[in-house]
Amino acid sequence: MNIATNSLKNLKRRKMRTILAILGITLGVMLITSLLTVMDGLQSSIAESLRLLSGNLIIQEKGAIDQTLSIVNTSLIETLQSNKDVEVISPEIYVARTLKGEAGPRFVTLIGITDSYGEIVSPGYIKTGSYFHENESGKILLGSKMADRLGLKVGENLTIDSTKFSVTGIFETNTIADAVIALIPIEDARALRNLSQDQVSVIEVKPIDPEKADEIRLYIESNFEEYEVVFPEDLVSEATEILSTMRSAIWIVSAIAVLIGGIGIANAMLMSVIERTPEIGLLKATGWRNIDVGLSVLIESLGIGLIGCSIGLLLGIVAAQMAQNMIPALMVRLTLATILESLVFGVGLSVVSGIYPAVKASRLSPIEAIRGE
Amino acid sequence: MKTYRRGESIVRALRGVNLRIKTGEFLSIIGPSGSGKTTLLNLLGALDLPTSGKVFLDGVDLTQIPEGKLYEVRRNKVGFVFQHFYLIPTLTAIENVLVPVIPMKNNTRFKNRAKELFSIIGLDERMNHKPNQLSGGEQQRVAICRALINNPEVLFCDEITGELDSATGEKIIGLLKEINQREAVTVVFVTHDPNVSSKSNRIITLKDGKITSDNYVGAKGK
Repeated sequence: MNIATNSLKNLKRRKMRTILAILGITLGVMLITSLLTVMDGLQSSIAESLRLLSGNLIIQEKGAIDQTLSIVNTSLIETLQSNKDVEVISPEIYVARTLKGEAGPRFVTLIGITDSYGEIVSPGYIKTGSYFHENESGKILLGSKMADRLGLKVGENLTIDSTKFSVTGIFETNTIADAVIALIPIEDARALRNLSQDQVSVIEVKPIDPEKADEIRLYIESNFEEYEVVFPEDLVSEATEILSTMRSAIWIVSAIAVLIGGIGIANAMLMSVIERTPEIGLLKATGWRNIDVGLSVLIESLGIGLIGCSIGLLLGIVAAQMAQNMIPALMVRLTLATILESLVFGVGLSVVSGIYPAVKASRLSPIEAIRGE
Repeated sequence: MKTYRRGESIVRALRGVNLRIKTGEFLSIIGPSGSGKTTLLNLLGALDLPTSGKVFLDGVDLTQIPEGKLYEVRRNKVGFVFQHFYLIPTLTAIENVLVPVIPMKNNTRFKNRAKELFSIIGLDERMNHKPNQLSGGEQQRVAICRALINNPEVLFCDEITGELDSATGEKIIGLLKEINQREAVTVVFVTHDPNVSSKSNRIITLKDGKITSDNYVGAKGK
Protein backbone atom coordinates (compact mmCIF):
# COMPACT_ATOMS: atom_id res chain seq x y z
CA MET A 1 0.00 0.00 0.00
CA ASN A 2 1.30 3.47 -0.70
CA ILE A 3 0.04 6.91 0.23
CA ALA A 4 -2.23 7.07 -2.80
CA THR A 5 -4.00 3.77 -2.19
CA ASN A 6 -4.23 4.54 1.50
CA SER A 7 -5.81 7.92 0.78
CA LEU A 8 -8.37 6.47 -1.57
CA LYS A 9 -9.18 3.85 1.03
CA ASN A 10 -9.77 6.66 3.51
CA LEU A 11 -12.55 8.01 1.34
CA LYS A 12 -14.60 4.97 2.23
CA ARG A 13 -14.49 5.77 5.92
CA ARG A 14 -17.30 8.28 5.97
CA LYS A 15 -19.27 7.15 2.96
CA MET A 16 -22.06 9.69 3.21
CA ARG A 17 -19.68 12.58 3.55
CA THR A 18 -17.66 11.46 0.56
CA ILE A 19 -20.80 10.93 -1.50
CA LEU A 20 -22.10 14.41 -0.74
CA ALA A 21 -18.78 16.00 -1.61
CA ILE A 22 -18.73 14.06 -4.88
CA LEU A 23 -22.30 15.12 -5.58
CA GLY A 24 -21.36 18.78 -5.35
CA ILE A 25 -18.71 18.47 -8.03
CA THR A 26 -20.84 16.16 -10.14
CA LEU A 27 -23.66 18.67 -10.38
CA GLY A 28 -21.33 21.52 -11.29
CA VAL A 29 -19.52 19.54 -13.97
CA MET A 30 -22.79 18.15 -15.30
CA LEU A 31 -24.06 21.70 -15.69
CA ILE A 32 -20.96 22.88 -17.53
CA THR A 33 -20.85 19.88 -19.81
CA SER A 34 -24.52 19.86 -20.80
CA LEU A 35 -24.72 23.59 -21.38
CA LEU A 36 -21.50 23.77 -23.37
CA THR A 37 -22.57 20.79 -25.45
CA VAL A 38 -25.82 22.54 -26.34
CA MET A 39 -23.97 25.78 -27.07
CA ASP A 40 -21.47 24.05 -29.31
CA GLY A 41 -24.32 22.37 -31.11
CA LEU A 42 -26.00 25.68 -31.79
CA GLN A 43 -22.72 27.15 -32.95
CA SER A 44 -22.06 24.32 -35.32
CA SER A 45 -25.62 24.48 -36.61
CA ILE A 46 -25.04 28.12 -37.37
CA ALA A 47 -21.73 27.41 -39.04
CA GLU A 48 -23.43 24.82 -41.23
CA SER A 49 -26.18 27.28 -42.05
CA LEU A 50 -23.52 29.64 -43.22
CA ARG A 51 -22.12 27.02 -45.51
CA LEU A 52 -25.54 26.29 -46.80
CA LEU A 53 -26.57 29.84 -47.54
CA SER A 54 -23.44 31.78 -48.05
CA GLY A 55 -23.01 33.78 -51.18
CA ASN A 56 -26.71 34.16 -51.82
CA LEU A 57 -28.97 37.17 -51.49
CA ILE A 58 -32.61 37.26 -50.51
CA ILE A 59 -34.79 39.99 -51.99
CA GLN A 60 -37.80 40.58 -49.78
CA GLU A 61 -40.37 43.23 -49.02
CA LYS A 62 -38.84 46.11 -47.16
CA GLY A 63 -39.49 45.90 -43.43
CA ALA A 64 -40.81 42.34 -43.50
CA ILE A 65 -39.95 40.72 -40.22
CA ASP A 66 -40.40 37.22 -41.53
CA GLN A 67 -40.14 35.73 -44.99
CA THR A 68 -43.65 34.35 -44.63
CA LEU A 69 -44.98 37.89 -44.40
CA SER A 70 -43.08 39.29 -47.35
CA ILE A 71 -44.59 39.78 -50.79
CA VAL A 72 -42.48 40.41 -53.89
CA ASN A 73 -43.85 40.92 -57.41
CA THR A 74 -42.71 38.48 -60.10
CA SER A 75 -42.00 41.36 -62.49
CA LEU A 76 -38.71 41.65 -60.63
CA ILE A 77 -37.65 38.35 -62.18
CA GLU A 78 -37.44 39.87 -65.64
CA THR A 79 -35.30 42.73 -64.34
CA LEU A 80 -32.98 40.26 -62.69
CA GLN A 81 -32.72 38.14 -65.81
CA SER A 82 -31.23 41.08 -67.65
CA ASN A 83 -28.63 41.65 -64.90
CA LYS A 84 -25.36 40.17 -66.04
CA ASP A 85 -24.08 39.53 -62.50
CA VAL A 86 -26.93 37.20 -61.62
CA GLU A 87 -26.44 33.48 -62.16
CA VAL A 88 -29.49 31.87 -60.56
CA ILE A 89 -32.92 33.34 -59.79
CA SER A 90 -35.07 31.33 -57.37
CA PRO A 91 -38.52 32.65 -56.56
CA GLU A 92 -39.92 31.15 -53.34
CA ILE A 93 -43.23 31.18 -51.50
CA TYR A 94 -43.11 30.68 -47.72
CA VAL A 95 -46.05 29.11 -45.90
CA ALA A 96 -46.36 28.71 -42.12
CA ARG A 97 -48.30 25.64 -41.05
CA THR A 98 -48.87 23.25 -38.18
CA LEU A 99 -48.63 19.54 -38.81
CA LYS A 100 -49.97 16.74 -36.61
CA GLY A 101 -47.30 14.35 -35.55
CA GLU A 102 -46.86 11.35 -33.24
CA ALA A 103 -45.73 13.60 -30.41
CA GLY A 104 -48.15 16.46 -30.93
CA PRO A 105 -48.42 19.40 -33.36
CA ARG A 106 -45.26 20.64 -35.01
CA PHE A 107 -44.75 24.06 -36.51
CA VAL A 108 -43.20 23.96 -39.95
CA THR A 109 -42.27 26.44 -42.63
CA LEU A 110 -43.08 25.18 -46.11
CA ILE A 111 -41.02 26.71 -48.89
CA GLY A 112 -42.61 26.57 -52.33
CA ILE A 113 -39.75 26.20 -54.82
CA THR A 114 -39.01 26.09 -58.52
CA ASP A 115 -36.47 23.93 -60.34
CA SER A 116 -33.87 26.67 -59.92
CA TYR A 117 -33.82 26.03 -56.17
CA GLY A 118 -31.62 23.03 -56.78
CA GLU A 119 -28.94 25.41 -58.01
CA ILE A 120 -29.14 27.51 -54.85
CA VAL A 121 -29.12 24.65 -52.38
CA SER A 122 -27.17 21.65 -53.55
CA PRO A 123 -28.96 18.33 -54.05
CA GLY A 124 -26.05 16.83 -52.15
CA TYR A 125 -27.96 17.48 -48.94
CA ILE A 126 -30.64 15.00 -49.96
CA LYS A 127 -30.08 11.82 -47.96
CA THR A 128 -32.68 9.59 -49.56
CA GLY A 129 -34.88 10.14 -52.59
CA SER A 130 -34.58 13.23 -54.78
CA TYR A 131 -35.85 16.69 -55.63
CA PHE A 132 -39.21 16.86 -57.39
CA HIS A 133 -39.95 18.90 -60.52
CA GLU A 134 -41.78 22.15 -60.01
CA ASN A 135 -44.70 21.02 -62.17
CA GLU A 136 -45.25 17.85 -60.12
CA SER A 137 -48.06 18.82 -57.78
CA GLY A 138 -48.48 17.12 -54.44
CA LYS A 139 -44.80 16.36 -53.79
CA ILE A 140 -42.80 17.23 -50.69
CA LEU A 141 -39.19 17.12 -49.48
CA LEU A 142 -38.78 16.78 -45.69
CA GLY A 143 -35.95 17.54 -43.29
CA SER A 144 -34.53 14.42 -41.61
CA LYS A 145 -35.55 15.43 -38.08
CA MET A 146 -39.07 16.29 -39.22
CA ALA A 147 -39.40 13.02 -41.09
CA ASP A 148 -38.42 11.17 -37.91
CA ARG A 149 -40.90 13.11 -35.84
CA LEU A 150 -43.73 12.51 -38.26
CA GLY A 151 -42.69 8.93 -38.81
CA LEU A 152 -42.52 9.30 -42.57
CA LYS A 153 -40.33 7.66 -45.18
CA VAL A 154 -39.81 8.29 -48.90
CA GLY A 155 -42.92 7.29 -50.81
CA GLU A 156 -45.30 7.82 -47.88
CA ASN A 157 -47.92 10.54 -47.71
CA LEU A 158 -48.94 13.36 -45.45
CA THR A 159 -51.86 15.75 -45.56
CA ILE A 160 -51.65 19.53 -45.34
CA ASP A 161 -54.88 21.54 -45.46
CA SER A 162 -56.66 18.46 -46.83
CA THR A 163 -54.20 18.18 -49.72
CA LYS A 164 -52.17 14.99 -49.95
CA PHE A 165 -48.41 15.31 -50.38
CA SER A 166 -46.14 12.44 -51.27
CA VAL A 167 -42.60 12.39 -49.87
CA THR A 168 -40.06 12.29 -52.68
CA GLY A 169 -36.99 12.80 -50.58
CA ILE A 170 -35.46 13.54 -47.18
CA PHE A 171 -32.62 16.06 -46.70
CA GLU A 172 -30.10 16.49 -43.91
CA THR A 173 -28.16 19.73 -43.44
CA ASN A 174 -27.28 19.42 -39.73
CA THR A 175 -28.94 22.73 -39.10
CA ILE A 176 -32.24 23.75 -37.61
CA ALA A 177 -33.75 23.41 -41.11
CA ASP A 178 -33.84 19.64 -40.68
CA ALA A 179 -36.55 20.05 -38.08
CA VAL A 180 -38.64 22.93 -39.33
CA ILE A 181 -38.38 23.18 -43.13
CA ALA A 182 -40.21 21.25 -45.86
CA LEU A 183 -40.04 21.95 -49.60
CA ILE A 184 -43.05 21.79 -51.93
CA PRO A 185 -43.66 22.86 -55.53
CA ILE A 186 -44.26 26.60 -55.80
CA GLU A 187 -47.74 26.31 -57.24
CA ASP A 188 -48.86 24.13 -54.32
CA ALA A 189 -47.55 26.79 -51.96
CA ARG A 190 -49.34 29.47 -53.92
CA ALA A 191 -52.61 27.53 -53.57
CA LEU A 192 -52.09 27.11 -49.83
CA ARG A 193 -51.59 30.84 -49.38
CA ASN A 194 -54.01 31.95 -52.01
CA LEU A 195 -51.54 34.32 -53.61
CA SER A 196 -52.03 35.67 -57.11
CA GLN A 197 -49.89 34.61 -60.07
CA ASP A 198 -47.59 37.61 -59.88
CA GLN A 199 -46.87 37.26 -56.18
CA VAL A 200 -44.09 35.36 -54.38
CA SER A 201 -42.66 35.72 -50.87
CA VAL A 202 -39.04 36.33 -51.78
CA ILE A 203 -36.64 35.96 -54.64
CA GLU A 204 -33.37 34.32 -53.77
CA VAL A 205 -30.47 35.19 -56.03
CA LYS A 206 -27.07 33.59 -56.57
CA PRO A 207 -24.47 35.90 -58.09
CA ILE A 208 -22.04 34.65 -60.72
CA ASP A 209 -19.23 35.97 -58.61
CA PRO A 210 -19.63 36.34 -54.84
CA GLU A 211 -17.76 39.64 -55.02
CA LYS A 212 -20.64 41.09 -57.03
CA ALA A 213 -23.19 40.48 -54.31
CA ASP A 214 -22.97 44.01 -52.95
CA GLU A 215 -23.40 45.50 -56.40
CA ILE A 216 -26.56 43.54 -56.94
CA ARG A 217 -27.86 44.69 -53.61
CA LEU A 218 -27.13 48.28 -54.41
CA TYR A 219 -28.87 47.93 -57.74
CA ILE A 220 -32.03 46.48 -56.26
CA GLU A 221 -32.30 48.82 -53.31
CA SER A 222 -31.73 51.95 -55.34
CA ASN A 223 -34.17 51.01 -58.09
CA PHE A 224 -36.87 49.40 -56.01
CA GLU A 225 -37.83 51.29 -52.89
CA GLU A 226 -40.32 48.66 -51.81
CA TYR A 227 -37.70 45.92 -51.60
CA GLU A 228 -34.66 45.24 -49.48
CA VAL A 229 -31.82 42.77 -49.81
CA VAL A 230 -30.81 40.50 -46.98
CA PHE A 231 -27.63 38.48 -46.76
CA PRO A 232 -28.24 35.30 -44.80
CA GLU A 233 -24.67 35.54 -43.60
CA ASP A 234 -25.43 38.77 -41.76
CA LEU A 235 -28.15 37.07 -39.80
CA VAL A 236 -25.86 34.19 -39.10
CA SER A 237 -22.95 36.29 -37.92
CA GLU A 238 -25.26 38.20 -35.62
CA ALA A 239 -26.40 34.93 -34.14
CA THR A 240 -22.82 33.79 -33.77
CA GLU A 241 -21.98 36.86 -31.76
CA ILE A 242 -24.95 36.36 -29.50
CA LEU A 243 -23.98 32.75 -29.00
CA SER A 244 -20.46 33.72 -28.15
CA THR A 245 -21.68 36.03 -25.43
CA MET A 246 -24.02 33.36 -24.18
CA ARG A 247 -21.18 30.88 -24.01
CA SER A 248 -19.22 33.19 -21.73
CA ALA A 249 -22.25 33.74 -19.55
CA ILE A 250 -22.86 30.02 -19.32
CA TRP A 251 -19.26 29.42 -18.38
CA ILE A 252 -19.48 31.90 -15.54
CA VAL A 253 -22.69 30.47 -14.15
CA SER A 254 -21.47 26.91 -14.40
CA ALA A 255 -18.12 27.84 -12.91
CA ILE A 256 -19.92 29.19 -9.89
CA ALA A 257 -21.75 25.90 -9.58
CA VAL A 258 -18.48 24.00 -9.65
CA LEU A 259 -16.99 26.44 -7.16
CA ILE A 260 -19.77 25.63 -4.76
CA GLY A 261 -18.94 21.98 -5.25
CA GLY A 262 -15.35 22.83 -4.39
CA ILE A 263 -16.44 24.44 -1.16
CA GLY A 264 -18.23 21.21 -0.37
CA ILE A 265 -15.00 19.31 -0.82
CA ALA A 266 -13.01 21.76 1.29
CA ASN A 267 -15.57 21.40 4.04
CA ALA A 268 -15.56 17.61 3.90
CA MET A 269 -11.77 17.46 3.93
CA LEU A 270 -11.50 19.93 6.79
CA MET A 271 -13.95 17.97 8.91
CA SER A 272 -12.08 14.82 8.06
CA VAL A 273 -8.76 16.32 9.16
CA ILE A 274 -10.22 17.66 12.40
CA GLU A 275 -11.79 14.30 13.20
CA ARG A 276 -8.63 12.42 12.46
CA THR A 277 -6.31 14.73 14.37
CA PRO A 278 -5.16 12.09 16.87
CA GLU A 279 -4.64 9.66 14.03
CA ILE A 280 -2.54 12.20 12.13
CA GLY A 281 -0.55 12.70 15.31
CA LEU A 282 0.07 9.00 15.40
CA LEU A 283 1.19 8.92 11.78
CA LYS A 284 3.73 11.60 12.51
CA ALA A 285 4.88 9.80 15.63
CA THR A 286 5.65 6.76 13.49
CA GLY A 287 7.70 8.77 11.01
CA TRP A 288 5.31 10.19 8.44
CA ARG A 289 6.66 13.49 7.20
CA ASN A 290 4.60 16.67 6.96
CA ILE A 291 4.54 16.29 3.23
CA ASP A 292 3.33 12.69 3.44
CA VAL A 293 0.38 13.77 5.52
CA GLY A 294 -0.40 16.77 3.32
CA LEU A 295 -0.16 14.69 0.17
CA SER A 296 -2.50 12.15 1.67
CA VAL A 297 -5.20 14.77 2.14
CA LEU A 298 -4.66 16.23 -1.32
CA ILE A 299 -4.97 12.83 -2.92
CA GLU A 300 -8.26 12.33 -1.13
CA SER A 301 -9.65 15.53 -2.59
CA LEU A 302 -8.21 14.57 -5.96
CA GLY A 303 -10.04 11.27 -5.70
CA ILE A 304 -13.31 13.04 -4.99
CA GLY A 305 -12.68 15.37 -7.91
CA LEU A 306 -11.93 12.59 -10.38
CA ILE A 307 -14.96 10.56 -9.44
CA GLY A 308 -17.24 13.61 -9.37
CA CYS A 309 -15.99 14.89 -12.73
CA SER A 310 -16.30 11.57 -14.51
CA ILE A 311 -19.85 11.07 -13.35
CA GLY A 312 -20.69 14.73 -14.01
CA LEU A 313 -19.28 14.49 -17.51
CA LEU A 314 -21.34 11.39 -18.32
CA LEU A 315 -24.51 12.85 -16.86
CA GLY A 316 -23.92 16.11 -18.72
CA ILE A 317 -23.67 14.26 -22.02
CA VAL A 318 -26.80 12.28 -21.23
CA ALA A 319 -28.68 15.44 -20.25
CA ALA A 320 -27.72 17.17 -23.49
CA GLN A 321 -28.79 14.15 -25.48
CA MET A 322 -32.11 14.04 -23.65
CA ALA A 323 -32.64 17.72 -24.41
CA GLN A 324 -32.05 17.02 -28.06
CA ASN A 325 -34.54 14.18 -28.02
CA MET A 326 -37.15 16.46 -26.56
CA ILE A 327 -36.44 19.43 -28.81
CA PRO A 328 -35.65 18.21 -32.31
CA ALA A 329 -34.65 21.65 -33.51
CA LEU A 330 -31.84 21.57 -30.97
CA MET A 331 -28.45 20.43 -32.13
CA VAL A 332 -25.95 19.23 -29.58
CA ARG A 333 -22.28 18.65 -30.17
CA LEU A 334 -19.78 17.17 -27.76
CA THR A 335 -16.30 18.41 -28.46
CA LEU A 336 -12.97 17.31 -27.05
CA ALA A 337 -12.52 20.88 -25.85
CA THR A 338 -15.65 20.65 -23.71
CA ILE A 339 -14.53 17.37 -22.16
CA LEU A 340 -11.06 18.70 -21.40
CA GLU A 341 -12.34 22.03 -20.09
CA SER A 342 -14.82 20.34 -17.77
CA LEU A 343 -12.30 17.81 -16.50
CA VAL A 344 -9.45 20.24 -15.97
CA PHE A 345 -11.63 22.78 -14.25
CA GLY A 346 -13.46 20.25 -12.09
CA VAL A 347 -10.43 18.24 -11.06
CA GLY A 348 -8.27 21.32 -10.67
CA LEU A 349 -10.79 22.97 -8.40
CA SER A 350 -11.11 19.81 -6.31
CA VAL A 351 -7.40 19.69 -5.69
CA VAL A 352 -7.28 23.39 -4.86
CA SER A 353 -10.12 22.89 -2.39
CA GLY A 354 -8.01 20.32 -0.60
CA ILE A 355 -5.01 22.60 -0.18
CA TYR A 356 -6.03 24.37 3.01
CA PRO A 357 -7.04 21.15 4.82
CA ALA A 358 -3.84 19.49 3.56
CA VAL A 359 -1.64 22.26 4.86
CA LYS A 360 -3.49 22.24 8.17
CA ALA A 361 -3.00 18.50 8.52
CA SER A 362 0.67 18.65 7.59
CA ARG A 363 1.38 21.26 10.24
CA LEU A 364 -0.08 19.33 13.18
CA SER A 365 2.53 18.51 15.78
CA PRO A 366 2.44 14.88 16.85
CA ILE A 367 1.96 15.35 20.54
CA GLU A 368 -0.53 18.18 20.25
CA ALA A 369 -2.51 16.06 17.88
CA ILE A 370 -2.43 13.01 20.09
CA ARG A 371 -3.07 15.01 23.20
CA GLY A 372 -5.85 16.81 21.42
CA GLU A 373 -8.16 13.99 22.25
CA MET B 1 13.96 21.28 30.81
CA LYS B 2 10.59 21.63 29.23
CA THR B 3 8.03 24.38 29.67
CA TYR B 4 4.65 24.79 28.00
CA ARG B 5 2.29 27.65 27.59
CA ARG B 6 -1.21 26.74 28.57
CA GLY B 7 -3.39 29.76 28.07
CA GLU B 8 -2.08 32.50 30.30
CA SER B 9 0.12 30.38 32.56
CA ILE B 10 3.44 28.72 31.98
CA VAL B 11 3.69 25.10 32.98
CA ARG B 12 7.09 23.84 34.04
CA ALA B 13 6.74 20.23 33.05
CA LEU B 14 10.34 19.19 33.59
CA ARG B 15 12.97 20.97 35.56
CA GLY B 16 16.53 19.87 35.38
CA VAL B 17 16.28 16.20 34.41
CA ASN B 18 19.51 14.37 33.78
CA LEU B 19 19.17 10.83 32.62
CA ARG B 20 21.32 8.20 31.01
CA ILE B 21 19.89 5.06 29.49
CA LYS B 22 22.07 2.20 28.29
CA THR B 23 21.36 0.02 25.29
CA GLY B 24 19.24 -3.01 26.06
CA GLU B 25 17.90 -1.72 29.35
CA PHE B 26 14.34 -2.54 30.43
CA LEU B 27 13.28 0.34 32.60
CA SER B 28 10.19 2.09 33.86
CA ILE B 29 9.40 5.66 34.79
CA ILE B 30 6.84 6.04 37.53
CA GLY B 31 5.16 9.04 39.07
CA PRO B 32 1.78 10.61 39.81
CA SER B 33 -0.11 12.44 37.09
CA GLY B 34 1.37 15.84 36.38
CA SER B 35 4.83 14.62 37.33
CA GLY B 36 6.06 15.08 33.75
CA LYS B 37 6.50 11.42 32.78
CA THR B 38 4.75 11.72 29.43
CA THR B 39 6.66 14.90 28.68
CA LEU B 40 9.93 13.16 29.44
CA LEU B 41 8.99 10.24 27.21
CA ASN B 42 8.04 12.56 24.35
CA LEU B 43 11.43 14.28 24.60
CA LEU B 44 13.32 11.01 24.66
CA GLY B 45 11.30 9.70 21.73
CA ALA B 46 11.84 12.71 19.44
CA LEU B 47 8.18 13.66 19.50
CA ASP B 48 9.04 16.96 21.09
CA LEU B 49 12.12 19.07 21.79
CA PRO B 50 13.23 20.48 25.16
CA THR B 51 12.96 24.18 25.93
CA SER B 52 16.56 23.99 27.08
CA GLY B 53 19.06 21.20 27.35
CA LYS B 54 20.00 18.32 25.06
CA VAL B 55 18.72 14.87 24.18
CA PHE B 56 21.24 12.34 22.91
CA LEU B 57 20.08 9.26 21.12
CA ASP B 58 22.76 6.86 20.03
CA GLY B 59 25.31 9.65 20.24
CA VAL B 60 23.27 12.08 18.16
CA ASP B 61 21.92 15.27 19.72
CA LEU B 62 18.27 15.45 18.73
CA THR B 63 18.07 19.15 19.47
CA GLN B 64 20.52 19.80 16.63
CA ILE B 65 18.44 17.99 14.05
CA PRO B 66 16.34 20.34 11.87
CA GLU B 67 12.64 19.85 12.44
CA GLY B 68 12.08 18.61 8.92
CA LYS B 69 14.48 15.72 9.54
CA LEU B 70 13.14 14.54 12.87
CA TYR B 71 10.91 12.08 11.07
CA GLU B 72 13.95 9.95 10.34
CA VAL B 73 14.49 9.40 14.05
CA ARG B 74 10.81 8.65 14.62
CA ARG B 75 10.77 6.26 11.72
CA ASN B 76 13.99 4.38 12.19
CA LYS B 77 15.35 4.77 15.69
CA VAL B 78 12.37 4.75 18.03
CA GLY B 79 9.01 3.12 18.33
CA PHE B 80 6.08 4.50 20.34
CA VAL B 81 3.12 2.79 21.93
CA PHE B 82 0.33 4.83 23.50
CA GLN B 83 -2.36 4.21 26.06
CA HIS B 84 -5.17 4.56 23.53
CA PHE B 85 -3.78 2.16 20.89
CA TYR B 86 -4.71 4.51 17.99
CA LEU B 87 -5.34 1.76 15.48
CA ILE B 88 -7.03 2.80 12.25
CA PRO B 89 -10.49 1.22 12.36
CA THR B 90 -10.86 0.58 8.65
CA LEU B 91 -7.56 -1.27 8.26
CA THR B 92 -6.85 -4.86 9.23
CA ALA B 93 -4.38 -5.68 11.98
CA ILE B 94 -1.54 -6.35 9.59
CA GLU B 95 -2.34 -3.24 7.56
CA ASN B 96 -2.20 -1.26 10.79
CA VAL B 97 1.21 -2.66 11.59
CA LEU B 98 2.40 -1.55 8.14
CA VAL B 99 1.08 2.01 8.50
CA PRO B 100 4.49 3.51 9.40
CA VAL B 101 5.99 2.24 6.16
CA ILE B 102 3.26 3.43 3.81
CA PRO B 103 5.22 6.53 2.71
CA MET B 104 8.39 4.52 2.13
CA LYS B 105 9.51 3.30 -1.26
CA ASN B 106 9.56 -0.43 -1.97
CA ASN B 107 7.68 -1.12 1.22
CA THR B 108 6.50 -4.59 0.31
CA ARG B 109 9.65 -5.94 1.93
CA PHE B 110 8.14 -5.18 5.31
CA LYS B 111 5.34 -7.65 4.90
CA ASN B 112 7.48 -10.55 6.09
CA ARG B 113 8.71 -8.59 9.04
CA ALA B 114 5.08 -7.86 9.95
CA LYS B 115 4.19 -11.54 9.79
CA GLU B 116 7.21 -12.36 11.93
CA LEU B 117 6.09 -9.86 14.54
CA PHE B 118 2.61 -11.36 14.59
CA SER B 119 4.19 -14.70 15.46
CA ILE B 120 6.14 -13.16 18.28
CA ILE B 121 3.01 -11.66 19.78
CA GLY B 122 1.05 -14.79 19.09
CA LEU B 123 -1.68 -13.35 16.90
CA ASP B 124 -1.02 -15.10 13.58
CA GLU B 125 -4.66 -16.00 12.99
CA ARG B 126 -5.87 -12.49 13.70
CA MET B 127 -3.76 -10.72 11.12
CA ASN B 128 -6.68 -9.95 8.85
CA HIS B 129 -9.11 -8.93 11.54
CA LYS B 130 -10.19 -5.35 12.01
CA PRO B 131 -9.55 -3.62 15.35
CA ASN B 132 -13.17 -3.89 16.39
CA GLN B 133 -12.84 -7.65 16.15
CA LEU B 134 -9.94 -7.69 18.59
CA SER B 135 -9.89 -7.42 22.38
CA GLY B 136 -8.13 -4.52 24.12
CA GLY B 137 -5.10 -6.62 24.87
CA GLU B 138 -4.89 -7.86 21.29
CA GLN B 139 -5.18 -4.32 19.95
CA GLN B 140 -2.35 -3.16 22.18
CA ARG B 141 -0.21 -6.02 20.97
CA VAL B 142 -0.88 -4.97 17.39
CA ALA B 143 0.15 -1.43 18.36
CA ILE B 144 3.39 -2.82 19.78
CA CYS B 145 4.08 -4.61 16.49
CA ARG B 146 3.47 -1.39 14.64
CA ALA B 147 6.04 0.33 16.80
CA LEU B 148 8.55 -2.42 15.99
CA ILE B 149 8.03 -2.66 12.23
CA ASN B 150 11.08 -0.59 11.41
CA ASN B 151 13.44 -2.29 13.83
CA PRO B 152 13.85 0.62 16.23
CA GLU B 153 16.57 0.73 18.83
CA VAL B 154 14.30 1.94 21.58
CA LEU B 155 10.65 1.25 22.34
CA PHE B 156 8.82 3.91 24.34
CA CYS B 157 5.54 2.97 25.99
CA ASP B 158 3.22 5.53 27.57
CA GLU B 159 0.82 4.00 30.13
CA ILE B 160 0.10 1.18 27.74
CA THR B 161 -1.71 -0.91 30.33
CA GLY B 162 -3.94 2.01 31.29
CA GLU B 163 -6.96 0.74 29.38
CA LEU B 164 -6.48 -2.92 30.15
CA ASP B 165 -7.38 -5.10 33.15
CA SER B 166 -4.52 -6.17 35.39
CA ALA B 167 -4.25 -9.70 34.04
CA THR B 168 -4.01 -8.53 30.45
CA GLY B 169 -1.70 -5.74 31.53
CA GLU B 170 0.69 -8.22 33.08
CA LYS B 171 0.74 -10.25 29.88
CA ILE B 172 1.61 -7.14 27.93
CA ILE B 173 4.51 -6.26 30.20
CA GLY B 174 5.65 -9.84 29.90
CA LEU B 175 5.58 -9.45 26.14
CA LEU B 176 7.66 -6.28 26.40
CA LYS B 177 10.25 -8.19 28.41
CA GLU B 178 10.38 -10.89 25.78
CA ILE B 179 10.81 -8.31 23.06
CA ASN B 180 13.54 -6.59 25.06
CA GLN B 181 15.49 -9.83 25.18
CA ARG B 182 14.67 -11.36 21.79
CA GLU B 183 14.82 -8.28 19.63
CA ALA B 184 17.52 -6.51 21.67
CA VAL B 185 15.38 -3.41 21.88
CA THR B 186 15.79 -0.98 24.75
CA VAL B 187 12.41 -0.61 26.44
CA VAL B 188 11.30 2.43 28.42
CA PHE B 189 7.79 2.41 29.76
CA VAL B 190 5.90 4.98 31.76
CA THR B 191 3.28 4.08 34.33
CA HIS B 192 1.62 5.32 37.49
CA ASP B 193 1.09 1.77 38.77
CA PRO B 194 3.82 0.37 41.06
CA ASN B 195 2.77 -3.20 40.24
CA VAL B 196 3.64 -2.56 36.64
CA SER B 197 6.87 -0.70 37.29
CA SER B 198 8.06 -3.44 39.63
CA LYS B 199 8.38 -5.72 36.61
CA SER B 200 11.19 -3.62 35.16
CA ASN B 201 14.90 -3.83 35.93
CA ARG B 202 15.31 -0.16 36.74
CA ILE B 203 12.73 2.19 38.21
CA ILE B 204 12.99 5.95 37.84
CA THR B 205 10.62 7.97 39.99
CA LEU B 206 9.49 11.37 38.83
CA LYS B 207 7.79 14.03 40.92
CA ASP B 208 6.95 17.63 39.98
CA GLY B 209 9.22 17.49 36.97
CA LYS B 210 12.28 16.13 38.79
CA ILE B 211 13.78 12.69 39.27
CA THR B 212 13.46 11.73 42.92
CA SER B 213 14.89 8.24 42.70
CA ASP B 214 16.63 5.96 40.21
CA ASN B 215 17.10 2.36 41.34
CA TYR B 216 18.03 -0.91 39.78
CA VAL B 217 15.85 -3.76 40.85
CA GLY B 218 16.98 -7.28 41.51
CA ALA B 219 20.46 -8.74 41.12
CA LYS B 220 21.73 -6.27 38.49
CA GLY B 221 24.24 -3.84 39.93
CA LYS B 222 24.83 -0.33 38.61
